[in-house]
Amino acid sequence: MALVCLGVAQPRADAVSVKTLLDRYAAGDFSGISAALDQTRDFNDILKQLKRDGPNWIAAGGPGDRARRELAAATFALEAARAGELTDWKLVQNWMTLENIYWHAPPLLIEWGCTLLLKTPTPQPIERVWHLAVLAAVDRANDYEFLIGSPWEGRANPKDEIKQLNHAIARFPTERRFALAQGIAAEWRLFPTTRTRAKEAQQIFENLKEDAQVGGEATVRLGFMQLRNRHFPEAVALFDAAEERSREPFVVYLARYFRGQALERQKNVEGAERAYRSALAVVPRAQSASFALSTLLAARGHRAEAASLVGAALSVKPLPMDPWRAYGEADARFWPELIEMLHAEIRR
Amino acid sequence: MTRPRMVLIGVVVAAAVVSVVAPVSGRRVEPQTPQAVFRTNTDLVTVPVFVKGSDGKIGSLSAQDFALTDNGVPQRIEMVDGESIPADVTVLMETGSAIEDYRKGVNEQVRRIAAMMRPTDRIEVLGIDDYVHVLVPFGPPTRSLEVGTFTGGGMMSVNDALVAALLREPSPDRRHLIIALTDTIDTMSTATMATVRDVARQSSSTLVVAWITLSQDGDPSPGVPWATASERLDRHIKAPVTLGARGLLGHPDPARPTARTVPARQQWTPHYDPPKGRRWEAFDVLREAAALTGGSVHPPGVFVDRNASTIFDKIYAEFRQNFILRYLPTGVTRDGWHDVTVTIPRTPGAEIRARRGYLVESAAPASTPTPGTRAMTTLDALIEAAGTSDLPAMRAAIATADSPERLTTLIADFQKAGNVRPASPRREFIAALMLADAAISASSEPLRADALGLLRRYRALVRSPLGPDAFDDEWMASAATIADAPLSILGSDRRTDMNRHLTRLVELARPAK
Repeated sequence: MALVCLGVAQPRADAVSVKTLLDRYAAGDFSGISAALDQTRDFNDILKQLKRDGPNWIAAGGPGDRARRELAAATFALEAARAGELTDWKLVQNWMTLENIYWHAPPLLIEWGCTLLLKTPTPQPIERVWHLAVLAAVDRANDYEFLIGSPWEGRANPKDEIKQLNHAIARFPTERRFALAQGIAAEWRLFPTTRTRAKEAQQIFENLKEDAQVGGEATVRLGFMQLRNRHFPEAVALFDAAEERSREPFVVYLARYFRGQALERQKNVEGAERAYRSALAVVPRAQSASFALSTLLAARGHRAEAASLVGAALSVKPLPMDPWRAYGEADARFWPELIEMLHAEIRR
Repeated sequence: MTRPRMVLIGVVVAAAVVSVVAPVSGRRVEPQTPQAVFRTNTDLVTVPVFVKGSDGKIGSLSAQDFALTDNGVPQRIEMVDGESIPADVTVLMETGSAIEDYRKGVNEQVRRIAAMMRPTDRIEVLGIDDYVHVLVPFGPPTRSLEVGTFTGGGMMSVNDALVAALLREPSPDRRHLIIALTDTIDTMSTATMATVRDVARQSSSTLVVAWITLSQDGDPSPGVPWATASERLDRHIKAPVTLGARGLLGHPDPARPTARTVPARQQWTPHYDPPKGRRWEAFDVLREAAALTGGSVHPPGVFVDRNASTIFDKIYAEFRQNFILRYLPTGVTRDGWHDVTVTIPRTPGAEIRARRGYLVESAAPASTPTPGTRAMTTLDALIEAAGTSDLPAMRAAIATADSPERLTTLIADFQKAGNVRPASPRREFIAALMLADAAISASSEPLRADALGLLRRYRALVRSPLGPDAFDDEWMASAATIADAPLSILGSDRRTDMNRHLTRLVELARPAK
């Protein structure tokens, strides 16, 4: 069944020529295009123009420039999808006896770019970066169903699912971040159903916890599931193990911060305080550990230090990325690095 | 270090807007290491009191009309003109993407609020979304106030924001009023509502929560006057199909989405699973928190107008009508928790809702770990030098381990310490390389094994989460230079190679600007 884009109709105050935007983008005007996309309201129009004019624009560069232009167009589509994330990604409609998913422009823009890159028989290394950047954009939008499909058996029509991660894994089967992303999506897509019984996600994290690339993060996420389930000693053991497996500040901060939470719930106030302080050694002035520590201190009568911690966490400019705040957005933290790599490749 | 402070607490007798005041538990929170150090005359305690009689009115009152006890000991009180004490006002506003429609007017609202304040007052505005933001720092209301642009996330750290505001240390000569304009639906805070209550119990501030309903739905379920975004999503998923949502012949009508249509705005997934069946009673703890400060929670419907300045006007007017009692505590130990009771003996029918006490912080220092007095070890020196990627200093530190045994101990200590530079782990990776290099150069078979073990251990840690990058490649090349060096040819060429590798690694380890 063809996917029909019903999009929330917005007045077209911003009629833009996508070909012009692509020219500027391929020439390296990334910040200018990003600003233009931020002002865009009608992403359906961008999608429509890309489908209509994109192939000719790519061909116009000749065979020697084809791969670069394909990457530029796919990356432009990805940036447009990310800019449009505040518009809804999908619509579920009932029609006769079928329930169909109508995808909106942002995910369809990604799909258009993906199709473009899939035409290359042998995946190039930069395509892996592009798929990782997709993950970063989609995780930020919290659209876990776009990545692996819907858990609502009675709602979704399998034919309408996109399951973007399947495309990425088919091209790069050894990239463990895609496997980890399946686990994260499997856990988070369950909401609003309780996530305490996310068996599928738990199994994926178990399988990955010894992995050299993503084992640390898989372990910390496994530990957080134990924390949710109030299995505190098991959770603490996993947080300790996570730090043995990773030095990534995001992972180490979470391991220490969650450790503090687990210990606090076990009434081990001194241990929790040490854990929160050690988390702040990883990301100084991060709000989650700053606030957790200050409430502990205030409860023990140390209001001056508590106030000082809160004041410092609020006054720092710019605010440091807080791994707890970014926990559900997962790979979104890699977006700046990934988009820079894509831009560098397009500039060549 | 703690500083002497005048304690300012609010005791408020209710205006009629809040239905129930939850009972306050008698639990005290006391410092673990109290010290009875009574400091200067700034220990004057000021107690704002808002009074409402049983008939809704109250006549003029003087200090003699009140009875106040501090930890059960009657105190001699005086009354101060409330208008003479300036106020610090913290306004908490949601700035997340769920409030697109009203954030546009934030600047105008803030200006209107400021215009209602006295020149001697001060105002700050905190924004609540994924993070807590200072939108306008504390300052006089007469200055030019501009919240500026902000890009709110999709989640709400409401509890954290309340805690942050309650933990702000108000100036000793001022009263602190916190007005939270929020639907109080928290999705990712560190603090729970119980934590808010515990902090409120000790706070010198007055907390008023003006509950604004942000639901986009025009059709909330019966008995549930508001809902989170995710609850709305849940409702849409489970809702039955309605014929009215279909167009002619049963085909979908894009202009009239079905009841099972996902709401039109992007939904974010909360970090916590919400309690089942959100009801007004679910917020008893928050109401208790506000009551403990002498404030209140205004439920949806009291302020039907979402206009922030209108809400502020009502709350601020109440706040300014407080009677201000002041006393110098006598007959009580200074430090620790003080239970305070205020009554009006001649008007026993007065409804009294008040904070129950205040905390005087111990003069003992907070539990911040203090540096020890032990001499700096070789490991300390290495870690310190690693902190600035100071290669000569790292070499010098390692060189002080001047025997195979000491070097073995240093390597063992380094591994045991683990993650010695957690904010910048690449500096630790460089230090590990240098230790391995020193161990290989010592021409000792056990040390060679130590070196290789160290390299194996760090080879697994050094990898970037996105796959090998320039630093990883350079580190691996350095490790290979060390591991592949036959013991017999440890010459100047390898030393040159290592120096080049290390210099390059230091460059690559620098944080991106």
